[in-house]
Amino acid sequence: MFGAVSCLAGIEDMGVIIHGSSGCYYYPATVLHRDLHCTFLIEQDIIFGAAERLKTLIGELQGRYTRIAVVNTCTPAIIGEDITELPGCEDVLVIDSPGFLGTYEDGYRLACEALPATIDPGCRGVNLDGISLLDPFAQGNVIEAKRILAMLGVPVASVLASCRLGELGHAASCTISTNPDLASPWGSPAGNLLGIDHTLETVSGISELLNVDYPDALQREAATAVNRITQAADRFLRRFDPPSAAVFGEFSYAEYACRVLEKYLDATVTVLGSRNRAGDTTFKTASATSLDSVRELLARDPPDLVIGSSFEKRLCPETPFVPFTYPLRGAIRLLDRPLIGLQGELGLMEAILNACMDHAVGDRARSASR
Amino acid sequence: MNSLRTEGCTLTGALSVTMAVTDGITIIHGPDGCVHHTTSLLHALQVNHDHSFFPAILSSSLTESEIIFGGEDALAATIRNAAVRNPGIICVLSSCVSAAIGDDVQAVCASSAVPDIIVIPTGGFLGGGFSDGVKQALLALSALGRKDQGPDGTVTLIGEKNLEYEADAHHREISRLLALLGARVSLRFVRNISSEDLGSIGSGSLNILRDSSLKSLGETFRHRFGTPCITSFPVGFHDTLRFLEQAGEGLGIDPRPAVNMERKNQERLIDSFHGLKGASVSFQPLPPSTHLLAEELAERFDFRTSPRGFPAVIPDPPPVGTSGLARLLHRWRRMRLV
Repeated sequence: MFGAVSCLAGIEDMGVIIHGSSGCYYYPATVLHRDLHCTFLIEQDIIFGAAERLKTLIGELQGRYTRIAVVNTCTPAIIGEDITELPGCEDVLVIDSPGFLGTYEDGYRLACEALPATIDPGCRGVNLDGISLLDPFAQGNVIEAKRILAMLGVPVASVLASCRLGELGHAASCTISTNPDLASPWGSPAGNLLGIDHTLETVSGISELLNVDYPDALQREAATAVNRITQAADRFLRRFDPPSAAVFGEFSYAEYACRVLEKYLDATVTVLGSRNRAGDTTFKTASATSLDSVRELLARDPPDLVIGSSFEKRLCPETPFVPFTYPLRGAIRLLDRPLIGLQGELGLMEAILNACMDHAVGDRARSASR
Repeated sequence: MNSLRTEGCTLTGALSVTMAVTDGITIIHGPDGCVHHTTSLLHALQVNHDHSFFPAILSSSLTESEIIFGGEDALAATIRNAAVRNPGIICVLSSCVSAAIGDDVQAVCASSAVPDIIVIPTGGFLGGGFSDGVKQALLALSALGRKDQGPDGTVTLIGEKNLEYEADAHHREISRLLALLGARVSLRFVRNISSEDLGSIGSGSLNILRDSSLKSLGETFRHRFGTPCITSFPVGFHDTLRFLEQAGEGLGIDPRPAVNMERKNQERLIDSFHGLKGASVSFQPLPPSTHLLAEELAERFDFRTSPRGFPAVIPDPPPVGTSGLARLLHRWRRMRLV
C-alpha cells in the first residue's frame, strides 16, 4: 500500500485516496508530505460495506484533481468488496495493493504500471524513472538527471513518478533509471545513472539512440570529478586504513555505494544489508528488513563505517555514519542532494570521507588528551 | 467527523504501552507493514524526545498465503522466536488482518509452551482506535497484578501518555505535588518499568489516572484491587489545589498544609507574570479539553479577548499542574513580546 501511495502521490494533479483506516493513513501522510485522502474506515464499514463511503469521497474530490487514484488496504481487500466499478467513478484508478501482498517496491511497481502513461513516438526525449517520494535523494536525482541530459541536448519527457498527468500522456519511447529497484514498465530501458561509469555509458547509449552529439563537456567533467575524488581518497589513505563498511538500503543504491567504497578507498564491505529483494552482486549480501536483522548484521562483523538510515545510526551511535536511506530522523536535510550522476558520486564520497575523517581525527584527539 | 475514524490504530495505542515494559517483546500478528509503520512512527517520536531506546517488536509477517490458509502457525512460530530471547513478557497484539481472517489468537497463545504471554485483543481498526488500544493494553497487563499485597501508602500513575513530549515533565510535577503531602509515586503503570514491576499494580494506596478517558479502567482497578483513584492529572490553578485535597483524602493525609503551600506558590507565580495582567488576548482555536482552563486564566489575569490580541495557544492535552501553567505562561509572554 505504502509503495503504491508513494508512486501515485508523486503525480502532482492526482488525488490519492487510501481506502482504509486512519492507522493506515497516518504513516504515508506523515512521511510523504503530500495532501493525501482517506476513507477512515471503522468496524461498521467493514460489516455494512465501505464502497458507498468511498464513492462519496471520490465525488467530493473529483473537481479538485485531474484524476483520482484509490489504493486499497488489507481489510477491505480481504472482505473483497468490489470497488473497481463504482457508478460515476469509471475514470478512477484503483490499485489493489494491500500490505500483505508484498514489499514497498511491489506496491510502487503495481501503481506505476497502472499510471495512465502513453508512449508518444514523436516525442524527442527520454523518461526518467525510479523517483519515489520516500527517497531522500529523489529531488536531487531529478535535478542532476535533467542537468546531464541538458548537456546532451535531450529533454526529459516524463518523470516516473514526479510529474503532472499531462506529461505522462506524452512519454518518450526510452527511459533511463535513477533507481533500478523502482523501474517502470514505460519506455524501453536505456541504462541508469547510478555512478559516473554508468552515467557515461548511459549518455553514450542515448546519444547513439537519438543521434545527438556525445557531450565532451560531460566527459571532461566526469574526469575532473573522478580525479577530485581520487585525490581526496588518496589523502585519506595516506593517514588512515581503508574502512570496513556496512551498507544498508534498497539493493541497487546499496550495491552502488559498495562499488564506490571499493573503487576509491579499497574498503571492505562487511555486509550489504538489502531492504528489498537482492540482485546479483559480488558483495556479501543479507536481508535487512527488520531491526533485529540489522542489529545482528552489525554485531556479527562490526564495521568502521555505517551507511544507512537513522535506525542503523541509533544501533551504532559511536560509529561514523553516512545518511543514505529512509528514515533519516534527528538531522535537518534541506539541500536536494543527488545520489546519481557525477554530483551524486561526488556527494557520496564527500560524505563518506568526512564521516571517516571526523571520527579518525576525533579518536586521535581523544587519545592525545588522555 | 467521528473521532474514532481519525484517532489512529489500536496497534499504535497498545504499542505505546507495551513498548514501555523494558524487558518485554511485543508481537504484532499481522503483515510486516503494520510493524514497519508503527516502528517508524515510534522511532520518529523517540528521536524527537532524545531517546535512543528501540522497542522490541516482532511481526508474524502475514502474507497472501496466510490470508488464505490462516495465520495461526505463523503466530506460533513468531512466539517461539520471541521466547528464544528470554523476555520478561511477550505481548501479542492482533491486527485488523488477523481479526478479519478469524485467527484464534487466544487459543494459539494458550496452547503455546511459552509462558507469560499476554494477549491484547486490539484487532487493528476493527477493535476501535488509538485510545482503545491504550486501554486494552493497560487492562491486559493489569492481569499480572498480585492480589496478595496491601496498600503501601504510595501512589500509582495509570496510563501516562508515553508518546507525549512532556510525559516526564508531567511526572515531575505530579511527584512535586505529592511530595508536598509527604507521598511519592512508586509505580508508573506503564512507563519504563520491568515486567516484574507490573505485578505491583495493586499495591499502591491511590491510583492517579492520566486523564478521564481512563475512568472505566480506574473503576476496574478499584473493584479488583480496592485502590481508590483520582480520574485525571490536574489542569489549572484551582484544579491543582483540588487535586492535592483529593490525593490527601485518598491517602489519609491532611492536605491543608500542602494546599496552603501550593496556593502561595501559585500566587507568587501569578505575580511574576503581572506583565500579562489585563492583556488583550486572542485565544487560538481551543479544543474542548482546554475551555475551562482558558476561562480560569482569563479571569486570573483579567484578559480581554480581542481578535487583535496576542495569539494564545493552549495545547491539547493541556498543561499539568502549576509548573505546566508556568511553562505555558512563559510561552505566552514571549508571544506577547513577539
